[in-house]
Amino acid sequence: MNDRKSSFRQGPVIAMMLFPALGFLLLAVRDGSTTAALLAGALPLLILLADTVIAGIMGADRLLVSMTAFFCSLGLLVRACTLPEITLPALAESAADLSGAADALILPAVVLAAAFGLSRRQVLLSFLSLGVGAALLFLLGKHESALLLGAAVVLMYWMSGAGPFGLLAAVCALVGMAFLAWSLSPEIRDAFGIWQDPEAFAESGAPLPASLAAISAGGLFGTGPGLVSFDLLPASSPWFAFAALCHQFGMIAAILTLILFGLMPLRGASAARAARGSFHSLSAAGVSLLLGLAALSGAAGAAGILPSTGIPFPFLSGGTSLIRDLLLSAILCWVSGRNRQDLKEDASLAMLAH
Amino acid sequence: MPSVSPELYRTISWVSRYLFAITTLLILLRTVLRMLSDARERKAQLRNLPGSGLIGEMVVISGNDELPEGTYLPVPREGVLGFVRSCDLVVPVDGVRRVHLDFTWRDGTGLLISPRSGCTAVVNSALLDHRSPPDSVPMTHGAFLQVGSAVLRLRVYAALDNTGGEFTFRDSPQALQQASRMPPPAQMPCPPAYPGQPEYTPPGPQEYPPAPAEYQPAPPSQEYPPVPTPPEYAVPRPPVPEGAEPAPAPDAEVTPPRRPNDRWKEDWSE
Repeated sequence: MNDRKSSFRQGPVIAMMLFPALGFLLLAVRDGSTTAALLAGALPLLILLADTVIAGIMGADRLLVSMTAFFCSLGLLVRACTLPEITLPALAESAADLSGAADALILPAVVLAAAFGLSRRQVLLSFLSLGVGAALLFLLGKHESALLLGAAVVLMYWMSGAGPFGLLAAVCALVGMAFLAWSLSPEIRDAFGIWQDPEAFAESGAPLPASLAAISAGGLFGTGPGLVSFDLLPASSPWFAFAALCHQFGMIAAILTLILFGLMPLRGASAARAARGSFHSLSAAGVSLLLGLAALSGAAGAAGILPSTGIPFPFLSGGTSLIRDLLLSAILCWVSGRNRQDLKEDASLAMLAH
Repeated sequence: MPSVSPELYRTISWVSRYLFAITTLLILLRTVLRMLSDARERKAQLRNLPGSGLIGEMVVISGNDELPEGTYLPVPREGVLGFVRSCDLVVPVDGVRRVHLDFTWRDGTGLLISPRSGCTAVVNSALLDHRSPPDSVPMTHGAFLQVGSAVLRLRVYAALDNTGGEFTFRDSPQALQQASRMPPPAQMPCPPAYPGQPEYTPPGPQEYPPAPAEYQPAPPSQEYPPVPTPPEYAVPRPPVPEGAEPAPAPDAEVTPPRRPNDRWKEDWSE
């Protein structure tokens, strides 16, 4: 009990609770919004419950669960800051613009199927599941998600101990998928054009120039929560959340948040290394790759470092893509919980053996 | 809910933006410290559980210079056996491929062996290839595994042992000889792994032509020069007082040779 108390005091949970509490309190003071005041109390409580009760019930990694809850709260705060009036229907409406429902279930399912196939040395099964998932995503117009999934599965194949010829074939298949996406998707071709010369598209309402303008207007410390120029931020863009975060809370807070988010795939990679079975290990590795690549593409696309892919930033973007992110986080928590259980079992076996 | 004027809110928001940056930094630092602390805790737990993640050991009954007899190979729950060092069980003997077979522990059943394509293995005289079902011949405590020219015997940890058989293996030449007197795996009766399994006939004794006379080995009566004692290990004798008889020289202690991968016999004498 004392260890649990001391780890709570020393852990990041208190600071994680402070961030959304402070943000929503300020918004409540700005407009006298009761909803914002309620959220100022509810969200920190949610983070606390996630760290103590939910992680305890699931036997999952407390840090992963609390980080998931924190990023969800941060996404809600970022969206709320851009609304003129904070009400629950307005918050729900701002999140409903993102059409992430297509890949919400497909990505986790394909990662699990690929991990199962690779763990049983049935490479054909894993690439068949990738093919089916990618085909569905292509049909739904989610070419970027299909490429993200393909990259993750090829890296999983490499991690499972693929031979050089098999790996070469997989990379060639991925390049072929990218070429197909380029041919079928005019949005991807336009994104490359805008990335090469964003200023030429500034008047056309393209999201990247608006995103860059929002980031630069925020400066190092941001304009402050709730103080935003609504013309700058395109709410319908998938990378709107990251641009809004940079605009209101500043580049420093955004970079620190990005580094903090990078610790999630790192934690997932640790869980993958510690996993006993190859299925658990590959599942955790695949999920970590998906989260890491999605965050990288979201942030780099919003900042203009890479061509914008249209993949929403995990957790922050909210909407239906949040379902995908929560499922991926649940898989990571399951693997880390399994590792913990295995270690306890080893300890009890060691006692029985002596 | 009361609200403030836009000018006052602008001032409050301007001040609070530094607070958010500091809070984010605090979250990041504490998260990193927490991760480092968890890593240290896990290391300490694993140090107290040296057999963590392992189900037992494979003891080498017959090997070669690179894999001498009596070597202990720790067996994880799941892994591969092969020639290369990246394998979980490294068996660098003739007849073993780079990645020769996969093995998986199944609770209540035993260690399941799945040879790769083009590879074979013999488990208790049952020949397995890549077409054999993995659970056809599970390896239990004391089972033999023959891969290439190596013969290994599985020792499952006591708490996982579910065969009821007794298997003791001590690190002494006499015990090694006793263990090697066990009937070879090829002669141990075992039902066929699957219908239509080809019968495994062990190779017969090889007959070599007699060596030429000039290559005859030296007679056993040849005397070899004594091994000199290294000067740094020579125990200095105390000075003998006048009139007293010198004490007999102590016998040199023979320390057993260390074997690679020998995890369970620590030399505490040093």
